[in-house]
Amino acid sequence: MARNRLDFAHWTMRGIYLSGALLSFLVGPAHADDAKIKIGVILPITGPASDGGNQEKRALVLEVDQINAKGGLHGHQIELLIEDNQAKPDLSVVAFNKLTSLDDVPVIVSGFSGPVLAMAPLATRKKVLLLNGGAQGDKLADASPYLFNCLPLVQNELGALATFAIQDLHTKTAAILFQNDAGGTPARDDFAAAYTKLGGQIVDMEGVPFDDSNFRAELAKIAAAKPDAVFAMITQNFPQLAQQYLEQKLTFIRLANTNINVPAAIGDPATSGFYHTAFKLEAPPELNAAYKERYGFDMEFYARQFYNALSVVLKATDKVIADNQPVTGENLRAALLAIGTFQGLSGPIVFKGNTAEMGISIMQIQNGKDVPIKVMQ
Amino acid sequence: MLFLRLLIDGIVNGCVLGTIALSFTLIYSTTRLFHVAHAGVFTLGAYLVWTFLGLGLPGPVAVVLGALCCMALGAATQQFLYTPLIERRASPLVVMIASLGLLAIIENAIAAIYTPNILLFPPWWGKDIVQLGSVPITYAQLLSLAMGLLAYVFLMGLARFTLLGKRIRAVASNAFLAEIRQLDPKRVTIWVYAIGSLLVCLPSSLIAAEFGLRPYSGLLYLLDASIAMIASGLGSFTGAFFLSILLAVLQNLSLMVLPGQWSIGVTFFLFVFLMLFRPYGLFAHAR
Repeated sequence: MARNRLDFAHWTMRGIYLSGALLSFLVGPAHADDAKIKIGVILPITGPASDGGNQEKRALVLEVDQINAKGGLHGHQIELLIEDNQAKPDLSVVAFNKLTSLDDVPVIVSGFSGPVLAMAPLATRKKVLLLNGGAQGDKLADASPYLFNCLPLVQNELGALATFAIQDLHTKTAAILFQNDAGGTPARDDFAAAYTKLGGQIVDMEGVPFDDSNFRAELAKIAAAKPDAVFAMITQNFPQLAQQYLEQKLTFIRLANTNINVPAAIGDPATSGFYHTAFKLEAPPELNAAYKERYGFDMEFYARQFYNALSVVLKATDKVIADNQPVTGENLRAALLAIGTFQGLSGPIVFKGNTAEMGISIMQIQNGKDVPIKVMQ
Repeated sequence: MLFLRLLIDGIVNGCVLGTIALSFTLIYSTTRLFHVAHAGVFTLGAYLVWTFLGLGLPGPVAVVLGALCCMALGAATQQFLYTPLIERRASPLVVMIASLGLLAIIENAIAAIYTPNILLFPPWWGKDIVQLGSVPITYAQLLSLAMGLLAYVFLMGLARFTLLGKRIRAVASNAFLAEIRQLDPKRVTIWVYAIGSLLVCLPSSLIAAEFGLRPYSGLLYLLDASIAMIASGLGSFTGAFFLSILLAVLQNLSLMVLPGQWSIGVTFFLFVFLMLFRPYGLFAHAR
């Protein structure tokens, strides 16, 4: 009887050891995988805004490869998990849930006002750091305590553009062609407020749907109002807009924000003459050379912008690991606020709150080239 | 000046929309099926023309080839999708869902092959400008105008003066009687889909030449065209065509009193308004 009991205990212990071995075999690779730091990325890889989205993706991939080639962050390799949102809020929410629920990412890098605003409440609820590399809608300022904007918001940018239009271009009247969505309407209001505050007059404001490319009727109405300048706040389709300006032989000064800053728009002969805003973000020669070697062309504007944004994430992650804390959204947020000032490509990126502060450049497109005109503080 | 510009632009847009409405009316009035996949044929037509242009073919040849491919797709849809369903006594709703499925397949196939990014046509005749009085107008717009009028004349002529047209009218009027009279409604219906699909390739190519191509844009155009078709009375070529022009002109002229963001709302408001007073359509006989 006693022997039977011993046998039972013996086999029970063997079972426990075996189960433990099996468990450690199953869990082992997962632990090894956890050594990687996962960073979620949600960008328009396809769709109308994919030109900018692919610039951003290229920069992120390059930066992560550079860090991993140097051994990663404290020995941890970085893994980018990239999802395509076509710049649509609904697809962004699906991608956010997938990355946070299935892949358990503590941080997501994204852009575009509509998608980021849609993801902001989820970031708060799930305590995931949401780093906005490019969107500038004013509502982003306080959309979530976990949302950090790496560019000044549209209010500041368009204030600079309105100031330039009045003080340097000596315009007195302006019209606004805006995209009727979460990004376009605040921009319309910000430009109109800044322009009228400086003594200018807004003579017409015309809204168009997102992704519209037939602006003829709206341009005809704007032309009838005879403004000195027209500010176009659309996300894409600048070549078509510029072509329709030419068709109607419109001679007013043409203004745009950073959205026009894509090679397809700058390279189109019809856009020559456009003034637009940009952020001073120059790639150092060695970085530009590495980018050119890999992709075959110079580092574009949105690429530089997102390279900057990812450096912020990596610096915050570095601090969290150095402090022996788990890499969670909460800890990353605390680290980001504690660091405050980050070294960007062309100078410091300062976070006094949720939004970065930096100077704003005014550029002009001249025969396929983007020429700097002035830097507004 | 502004009035004239908005008017001319509205007429041009209306002709493009009217051609889509004509093709859709031809199909709907004959088959009584809401052929949603027509939006897919519309989009595919432009992509095919873009492809043929990329192969170095001249513009008109590319458009003709694209239209012929659309014609084949339209006929095949009826022959291999709708006819088997109808023979199994599927309800019109089931056929419409099948059509919706086909639309999704076409759009997603286009997105997979060509990517969902905007594709711009190479600069050909579409970009040159002529002055119509004080109003500048592109060749593509002039062609849109001519195409709309020709499509209307062609369909009216087909319906009134050809044997096929008479058969189409007979099938549209009563398919059962047409069968008894040995007018072969099945074959007639295949022709209807083929002609409708051929016609819809023309406006899609012109729209794409001016504003670029997108895989998922067809349904929006079909929605506007179906408003014109329904508001005109579901079977009148004249009604569908001229109501398309009227809606496009009014949508444009609304800009004289309203900001641009209201222009789409104006179209739907006009539709609701018309339906309240003429629920059977403007060009339908009172029932």
